[in-house]
Amino acid sequence: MMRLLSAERIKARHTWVLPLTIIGPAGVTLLGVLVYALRWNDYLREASRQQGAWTVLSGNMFFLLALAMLLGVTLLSSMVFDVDHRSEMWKQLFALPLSRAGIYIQKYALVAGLILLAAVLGVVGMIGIWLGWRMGALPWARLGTLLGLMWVSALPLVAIQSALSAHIRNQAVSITVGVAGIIVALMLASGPEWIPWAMPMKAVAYAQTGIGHPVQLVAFALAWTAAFVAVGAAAFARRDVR
Amino acid sequence: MTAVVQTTALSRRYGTQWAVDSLDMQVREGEVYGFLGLNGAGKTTTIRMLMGLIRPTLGHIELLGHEVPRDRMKVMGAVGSLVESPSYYAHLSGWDNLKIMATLLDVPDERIREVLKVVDLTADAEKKAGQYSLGMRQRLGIASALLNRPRLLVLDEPTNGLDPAGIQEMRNLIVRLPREHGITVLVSSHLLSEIDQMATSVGVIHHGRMLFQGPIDELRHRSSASVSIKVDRPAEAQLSLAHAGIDAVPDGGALTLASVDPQAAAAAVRALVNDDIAVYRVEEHKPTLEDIFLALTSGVDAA
Repeated sequence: MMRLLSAERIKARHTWVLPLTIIGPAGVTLLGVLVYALRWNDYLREASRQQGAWTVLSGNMFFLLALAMLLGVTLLSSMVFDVDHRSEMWKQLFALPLSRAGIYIQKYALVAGLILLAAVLGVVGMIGIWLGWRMGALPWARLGTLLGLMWVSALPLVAIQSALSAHIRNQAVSITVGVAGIIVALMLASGPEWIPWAMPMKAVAYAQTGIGHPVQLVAFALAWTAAFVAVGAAAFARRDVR
Repeated sequence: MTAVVQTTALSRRYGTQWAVDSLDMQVREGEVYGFLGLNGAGKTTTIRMLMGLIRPTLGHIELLGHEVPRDRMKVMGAVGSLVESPSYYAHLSGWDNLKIMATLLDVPDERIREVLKVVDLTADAEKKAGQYSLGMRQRLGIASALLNRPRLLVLDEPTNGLDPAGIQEMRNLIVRLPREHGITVLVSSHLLSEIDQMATSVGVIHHGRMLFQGPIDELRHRSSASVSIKVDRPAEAQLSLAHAGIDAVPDGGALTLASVDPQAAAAAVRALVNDDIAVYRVEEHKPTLEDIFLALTSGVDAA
């Protein structure tokens, strides 16, 4: 597993994989800084005093954070698999004494890891804004909930996008599905917990308001993830390599 | 000698078409085995099955005594391959490309330096593989295939698209490998002349079937040379030769003698001249491998 990961690290050199992982949360943070810088005096200061700093910050930022994460899931899954489509490396990799399911799961884990990194950076950005505008003691429990739920809620989508990007060589397909998924996710913001595309919005909504069913959300997310990864890996292992 | 590659009734069907049909292939240790066939004969399909990239519809494969694909994890560490066009990460240097494979195979950097030297890419190791010429990419592919010190190296059309100098280099490399590194090489090509210059053994595949397999010399001996005599009146000439006790078969304006013995040819000419038949030309006809290959394949087409 470690060998596969270090091989992936070399492959990712000179690509947008890592920059994108950082640019996403950095961009969201920057937007947040802009919003707070421009509107602090005339509106946000007063709103934070009345409704609470957390409510105002989350109301302004979390939606955007979830959107950026959805886009990141789509793009990163695509990039991590496309590097081996484009180079026609599958026929070399599959002739090595490596488990094919292992290769797949490792790539899945890599994307999941990158999304975790992006989520951490996003939360760090929120902390930065919190501290920058002196909103008081850091709400660690809420930040932890945001981070954890946001990440876990993305895992089934990483599994779906990875499966698409792995099995369909033309990445236009997986990216189209991913972008369509974002639109669906927006529409399903108040939909049921068990739909993978509804989960990220549900997750940030719970982190924001404390309303929702986080336990069900996590349970559904983990169940879908296990199912999609298992199916994806099994199909990947059985695939004919051109 | 042990078999490095052994297939039994290996077959693969695409739709209703058998791309590979009951192929029994045997590659022995230390050979350069030339896998010869026209484009679309089933060479690449066979090689993909050997490498475990696609599953056989029927039949068995053993590589180095291990059944593939069932035990591929046990054996693929000792097999190197270059299937069709070379694969490479264009955005990475030659070194990084090899480093990725070396990491996956758990091979030290020292070995990367060694294989770069073998394929003569040391000077270009830091250049991006996307900027390599086709010949360099091909050599990078071979370097990658050599990383794990394979006992079996499988090269699918390794000279495809190379210029004459590149072909020469590749050929020298392939001939050197068994001698200097004890590697058994299975190399496919649609060019007979190429196989002729590299291989010690040959397998001829056509429409998915093995038409011939054995030492390349045996293929040459299969069709023996003959002597043909061009004369003005072939029918009379044949009678004349029959009278002299010499077997000959008419072949257009010429007669073909069964024997290539110079004495027999001399006797035939003497008999013809005595019977006042004009002898235009006496020539020995030696079939090239090309002729043999065409004869082998056309026989199947007719049937």
